[in-house]
Amino acid sequence: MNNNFKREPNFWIKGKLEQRKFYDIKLNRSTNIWTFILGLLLAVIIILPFGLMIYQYLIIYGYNLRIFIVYLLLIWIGLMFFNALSNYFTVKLAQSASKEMINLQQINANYIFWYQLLNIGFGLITLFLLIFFGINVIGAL
Amino acid sequence: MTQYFKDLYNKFIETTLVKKILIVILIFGYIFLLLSVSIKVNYEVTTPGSINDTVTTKSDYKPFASIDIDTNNTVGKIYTVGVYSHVRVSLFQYLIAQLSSNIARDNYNPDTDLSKDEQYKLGVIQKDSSIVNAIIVAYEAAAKVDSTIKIDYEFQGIVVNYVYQNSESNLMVGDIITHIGETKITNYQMFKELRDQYPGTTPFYLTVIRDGKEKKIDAKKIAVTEDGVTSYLLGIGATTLYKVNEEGTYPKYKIANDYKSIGSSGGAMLALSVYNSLVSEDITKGKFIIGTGTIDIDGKIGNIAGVEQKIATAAMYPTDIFFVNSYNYEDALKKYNEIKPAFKLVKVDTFTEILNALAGEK
Repeated sequence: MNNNFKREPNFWIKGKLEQRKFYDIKLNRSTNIWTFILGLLLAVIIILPFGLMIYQYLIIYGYNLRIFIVYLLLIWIGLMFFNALSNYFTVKLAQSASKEMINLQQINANYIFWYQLLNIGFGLITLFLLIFFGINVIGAL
Repeated sequence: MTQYFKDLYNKFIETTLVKKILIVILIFGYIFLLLSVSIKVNYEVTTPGSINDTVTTKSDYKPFASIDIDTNNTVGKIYTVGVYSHVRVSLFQYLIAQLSSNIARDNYNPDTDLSKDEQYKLGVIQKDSSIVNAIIVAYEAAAKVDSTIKIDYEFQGIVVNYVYQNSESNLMVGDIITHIGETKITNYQMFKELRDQYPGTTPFYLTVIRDGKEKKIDAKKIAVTEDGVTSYLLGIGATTLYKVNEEGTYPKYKIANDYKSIGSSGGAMLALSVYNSLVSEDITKGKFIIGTGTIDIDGKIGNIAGVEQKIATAAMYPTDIFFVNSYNYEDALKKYNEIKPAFKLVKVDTFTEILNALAGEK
């Protein structure tokens, strides 16, 4: 048996490690703030038409409560996607802003995207909030 | 941020032709999606809606009822049915609306058709009038069964519920017309006859109650041509307004301050609920009843809009009977045959016919 054999971490673990590396890097305060804000903004711009489509779909087909669960699921997927995009853009913007930081340039933002897309903690919190608001909406109907 | 986009641009320049084409397609796709949810089209989309509580009593509490009757009788499972109307939808909404045969799409002209706000005001006035009509019809019918039940009411006038843009009547939404010239109006037929006494565009005056104060206004009719026939009208929409005198009415009732639904199409079912709450016997025999149609003071059931969507709505609930009037029956039957719901579709033109139909049910 070869004890030196080490299993390659999967893309999610890689993403988690890359995300941790990014958090460990000490960016200057202003770069940290504007990359975060612009990352969110870029994610909003990309997700906007899809968000509006889900909302407008709900306006037209919202009468059918039997498929309300599908709307909640779509919104949940949208939020996960938004979270992944904003983190991805934050890293990419920071890399463009601080090209002299070698360790920052070595971070692979694609892994961060996939990790955040499947971020268990964020997913559970948003799912809980959606179920909570969903029950309130159905209760009000 | 500029640096990031510069980097992106450089990457784009260096990438392969296939990837470049793919990126351009994605950008155009994104722009198309953004435009499709932003651009409004002149269509009105009507979708199925929901059913609404009608009446509540002391022993049969319904949280969203429009009328609270002071009796211990059961209201029964009687519901009005509403549809959702969306004026000037987005291109995306117009396209997805085509995916369902239960959704109606109609042309909308912003210059002549009612705006969302005007539709709301119209709906509230219609609802007010409809509730009073339903109460009068139901109390009078119930009084024939139980002599302790009584109602006293009087005609107040004709309430204006919308005004066409080309109207020269000087009327406003909410005005209550009480006189034409010097003559007091006592019913809707009289209003029409008095109005027609003035030929063409001859000016005349009206007495109205506006914001609680009596006011005289100069009015003129306009020429309206429909199907090649020209007639002279005030260019308004209007409905009758009656006032119930509390002292002469038993059992007492209370009308809700805010309505969950608006419009007059629930009139017939409201009357049925009020009637069932007044009489000791549950005439519905526990059946789940939905219906649509306005009601006038004589108990006649009038036509409504969106009957196909209302049939589709009723099909989402455990409905036993759906009442509809003759005018809307053909359209209702077409949708009924298309979706084949479990309920019975019953044609009725008067309140008495509803009572007779239920009396014949087992």
